[in-house]
Amino acid sequence: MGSEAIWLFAQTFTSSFQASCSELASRLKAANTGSVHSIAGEIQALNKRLIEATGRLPSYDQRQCELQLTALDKSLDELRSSTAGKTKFAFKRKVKTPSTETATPALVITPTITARTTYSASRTISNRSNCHLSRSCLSGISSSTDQIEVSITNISGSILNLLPSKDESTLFANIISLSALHISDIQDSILILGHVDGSIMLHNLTNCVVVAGCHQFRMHNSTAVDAYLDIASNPIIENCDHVRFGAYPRELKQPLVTINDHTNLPFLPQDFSHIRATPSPNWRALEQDELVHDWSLSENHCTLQLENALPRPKA
Amino acid sequence: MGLLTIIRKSRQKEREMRILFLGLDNAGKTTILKKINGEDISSVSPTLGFNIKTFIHRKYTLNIWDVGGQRTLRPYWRNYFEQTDAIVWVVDSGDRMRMRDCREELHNLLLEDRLSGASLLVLANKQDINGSLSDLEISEALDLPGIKSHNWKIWPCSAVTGLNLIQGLDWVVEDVAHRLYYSSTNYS
Repeated sequence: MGSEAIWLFAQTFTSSFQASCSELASRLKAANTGSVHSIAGEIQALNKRLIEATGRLPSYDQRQCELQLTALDKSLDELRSSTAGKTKFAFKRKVKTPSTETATPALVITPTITARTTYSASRTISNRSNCHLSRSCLSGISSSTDQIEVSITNISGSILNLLPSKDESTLFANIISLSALHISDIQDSILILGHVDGSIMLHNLTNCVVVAGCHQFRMHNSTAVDAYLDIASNPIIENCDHVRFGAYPRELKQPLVTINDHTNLPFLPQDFSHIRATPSPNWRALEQDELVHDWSLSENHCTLQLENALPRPKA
Repeated sequence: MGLLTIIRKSRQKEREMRILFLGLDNAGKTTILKKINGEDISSVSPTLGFNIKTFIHRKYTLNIWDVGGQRTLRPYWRNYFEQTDAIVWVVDSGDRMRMRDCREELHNLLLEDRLSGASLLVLANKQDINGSLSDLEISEALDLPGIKSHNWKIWPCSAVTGLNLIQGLDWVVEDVAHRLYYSSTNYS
């Protein structure tokens, strides 16, 4: 088969495959118990067609088709479990309940776990809005100078500055070393995270600025985020859009942070939602005139600073 | 190639194990493998795709497949299930928010026919970080005692300090060897 014929085949195959998939998807939405069986059969047939076409499709198309099939399978499973109720999952639940009842040692352990959770809950900065948070909110969480993990959740319209400062209230907090951050559900905020001796994990950020030095940076399900990073590995995004990357700002330099003078990004972001040769539409580098230079974040002008720095200021 | 080489090669082949490293993203799968091999861990990027590592451990050749854990990559895990002798499930012990997610992914994995019989080693990673859940807490959170289909064990470990990495690997190799090469472990 000539390359043109292969291309033609791939074209027709992909479009007819897409059509069948969307048709099945719409039928699944309106399906009842009776039609589950026939739909399952058709998904199988579709799967067979795809396997037969292996080698004649571009690998990206092949993957996309596989993904669609998986999605169909999943919604079919959901439909099955909602209509039939006697699935593996339901069966497992039934097994689980008696096992916890019989396992008395588990009940003995429970108190210690609750104690641990409350203890560790103090490492969480959460449920704040419209305020200015400094490193002092880390004080009192640990008596040791160990590497610690901090979770930051549910913050909106705020500035969080974890950089060590000369302020006395943060003296103790200054010696704490952060080694992992788990961050989720942040809106319209500036997060100055400073140096993290490990990885940063972010979920559900909207309209935020993040400044950090770290080993690894992963961001999921977020939109309109400007990330200023000092990082030796590739930062990654997954299921994100309107993300802009920039180098760690010179103005917030810490001894640990290396600043290079590149106008280009000193790191290469990867978009796991766009695994192909073309550039990802979900991120770009910040242009020179878009970079924020004024990082003198005082408590007094919180709203103004947010307005100036956030990627999507309120109109 | 002499006869001895051929014999040696075939014996080596017999003593191969295929181990799959899985877990959510940010668990530390790649970092653990790099640490075990004495490589630099300071610039490990999130895995796009997979890495293969082959090395000898306790007279067994381990073929280790380290597959990326990002959500977009998880549907591809199944491509690596064939002929797997052991699963190493790596957990970020500090990631309280996603323990549920972690439990569901693990239990879904164990339903897979092609993985039936494989030994399961759970590594509660990042124990060097203050605030991480203990192995006991992870065991509860992931409902490990509820696993009857696989021979499992959990080890608290740290990819940064190297704590328990070798011990964990020892357990899993021992467990697979006991199953596959029972006669040969007896005299070796």
